[in-house]
Amino acid sequence: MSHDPSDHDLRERFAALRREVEAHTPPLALPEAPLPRARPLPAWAAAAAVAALIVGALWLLRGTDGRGTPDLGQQLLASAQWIAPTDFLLETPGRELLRGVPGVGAGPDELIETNENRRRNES
Amino acid sequence: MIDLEAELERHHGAAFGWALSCCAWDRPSAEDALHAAYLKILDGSAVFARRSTFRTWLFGVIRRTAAELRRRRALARLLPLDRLAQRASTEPDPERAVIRSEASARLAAALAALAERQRALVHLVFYEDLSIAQAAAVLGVSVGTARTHYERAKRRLRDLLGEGDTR
Repeated sequence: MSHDPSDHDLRERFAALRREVEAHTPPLALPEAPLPRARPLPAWAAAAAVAALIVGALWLLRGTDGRGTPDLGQQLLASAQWIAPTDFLLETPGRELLRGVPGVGAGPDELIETNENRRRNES
Repeated sequence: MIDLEAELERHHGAAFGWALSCCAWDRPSAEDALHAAYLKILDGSAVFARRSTFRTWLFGVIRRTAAELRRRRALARLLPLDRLAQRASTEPDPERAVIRSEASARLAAALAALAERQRALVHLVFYEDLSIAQAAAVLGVSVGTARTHYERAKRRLRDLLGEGDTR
């Protein structure tokens, strides 16, 4: 490193100080047999741990929701097949009569559209 | 694999001077800081990652350790019991004095009067013979910032040494 000549005075002062300090520097006394500390986790190990956690979490989500109940997919399927408990109210008496159009001269039996009547009419 | 003990042995003299500077030329504090820094290095709390020279890294560890000890002491000073203990421990011990000549004592007093960063910069450049860029790396600041502090530090140091009017 090139030194600024105008700093010569300061350099001399510091050199004298340094000589004096070095003359009174205590001998090196390293701490006695320090216990090795646990090293910080290497980056690859941390990444592997995170990946394992993600896989574990996905596996748990796939199997159960954590409370022993069926998984999300099964719950959605179940809700698609769900039937409202008030559906029976739509089962009105004589609703079969309303499905067929009554013909002229048709008896009450023929008003009820059955599979047999429909087949007979078609033929 | 680096031989830490051999490296510490090699840089011990410079490390002690740097620890003194970090502790405003207070020998007991410097010895404590240096011991704590060596402990950190040997027990693996501070790991040399070879991003700089060993000396630059070692000086960084010493600087941070000295700052930690200073903060801890400032906090402990709030406790009255500690105040008594400190009074007993800060008695000057002529046998343990590092600086004995008048000229060096004046320089050390002037350095102690500088702001922390300014003191660190002039010490690293003049005492340790580092370049400003290397000193900036030790202190973790940009070269521009280091240069500004360095120039201010030189002016202030000359003023404190009574040489301000001669330049």
